[in-house]
Amino acid sequence: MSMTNRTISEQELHAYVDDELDTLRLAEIEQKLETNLEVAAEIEAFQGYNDALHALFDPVLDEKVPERIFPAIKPVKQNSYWARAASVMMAVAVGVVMGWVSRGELIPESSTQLSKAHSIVNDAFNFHAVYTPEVRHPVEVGVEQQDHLMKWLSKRLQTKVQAPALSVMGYELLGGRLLTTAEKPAAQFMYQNTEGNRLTLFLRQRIDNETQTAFQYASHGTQNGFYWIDGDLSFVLIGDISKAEVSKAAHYVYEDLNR
Amino acid sequence: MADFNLEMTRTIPQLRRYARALVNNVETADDLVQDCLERACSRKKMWDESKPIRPWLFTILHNIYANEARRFHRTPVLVSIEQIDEAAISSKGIDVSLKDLRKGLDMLSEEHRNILLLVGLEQLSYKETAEVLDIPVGTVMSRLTRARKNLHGFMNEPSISTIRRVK
Repeated sequence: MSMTNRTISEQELHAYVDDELDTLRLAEIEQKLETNLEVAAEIEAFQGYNDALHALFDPVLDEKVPERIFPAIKPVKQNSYWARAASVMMAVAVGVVMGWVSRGELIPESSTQLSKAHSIVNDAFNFHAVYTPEVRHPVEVGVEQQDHLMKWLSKRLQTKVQAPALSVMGYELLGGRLLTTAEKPAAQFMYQNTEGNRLTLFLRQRIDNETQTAFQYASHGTQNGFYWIDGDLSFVLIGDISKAEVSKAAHYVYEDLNR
Repeated sequence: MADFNLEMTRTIPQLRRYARALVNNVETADDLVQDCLERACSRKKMWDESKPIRPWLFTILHNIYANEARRFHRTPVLVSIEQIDEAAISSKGIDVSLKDLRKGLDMLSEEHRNILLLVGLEQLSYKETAEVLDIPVGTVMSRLTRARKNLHGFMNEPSISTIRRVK
């Protein structure tokens, strides 16, 4: 039997779709397809699936790549506030913090910690986006009832909760609200400066898998945030301000809560 | 000398596309890509510069995915029904509903889905796919044949909307 008369095997049919045939066999098969309409239809169906896969998933190619994907490539610039905060925390996280500052890279210790971290970070960004544009009801309980707010949240979060002061940066506490995460209840404090810019501090009890104590940076659109763990609480501070400013604010929050 | 960071950064959109198709969830997919890039950076020296970086990165991503199956399991995605119903592509006279394609992908076995996405979507060669999945080229071909056949079966099943994934 000569090559030309060989029937088209099933695998060749796929190889044709995937452009994996050598030129000689390709020519032979193309010739056969002119008369074998059944096989030609089958090939068209398989090509159709490839096209459909592209139609379904190619839009991902045009998306802006989220910044959090880059930590290992993009060096995070060190700034003095961060360095100070880091030095305060060294006793807790010597290896991690030292490594981060000296290499200028943020490499999490293990992926499990990171994925747990992501869920609180995502929640924090979502709640920030939902409540900061609120004109009439930015908070559930206002700062005028601060004592009540702290008692209530401490009870619901089952740990002592207090709102740190950020007036040193020109941000005053507006109040807070009780929220939730996949694991535990959470609280959001909202701050505002005289220009109406708002920051939110999101916190909940630390969960077992969270052991990465170093500050970690995350961003979403124009919002920048820092995530860290302190004692039995996990924090995410977010603002529509520069990374340096948020980092500075995170530093003050950390200092104020450890005073 | 090829620039590792540059080559890697250029591949990110494709890694994200593959991861998205694989796990069906934006956040989880990006977690997977992030882990992949971190591992790639830490193993930078193992990349053979004379070879394209794409299959190498896909191999890393696939290994993380396979080793942490529980963490990266396929999750259902909520998309408005109207939005999907309208979406169908017409290719050479064959209408493929994207909604049915999503369901078809859901119903495929893990290994059939992997291979279909690597070859059909990412257009890796059979040889590259064999390297990524660490299987012989012959297996790539037979598995791919079966994967497309199964997908074809699912897509042309009239009661597709009532079939539940049994996995």
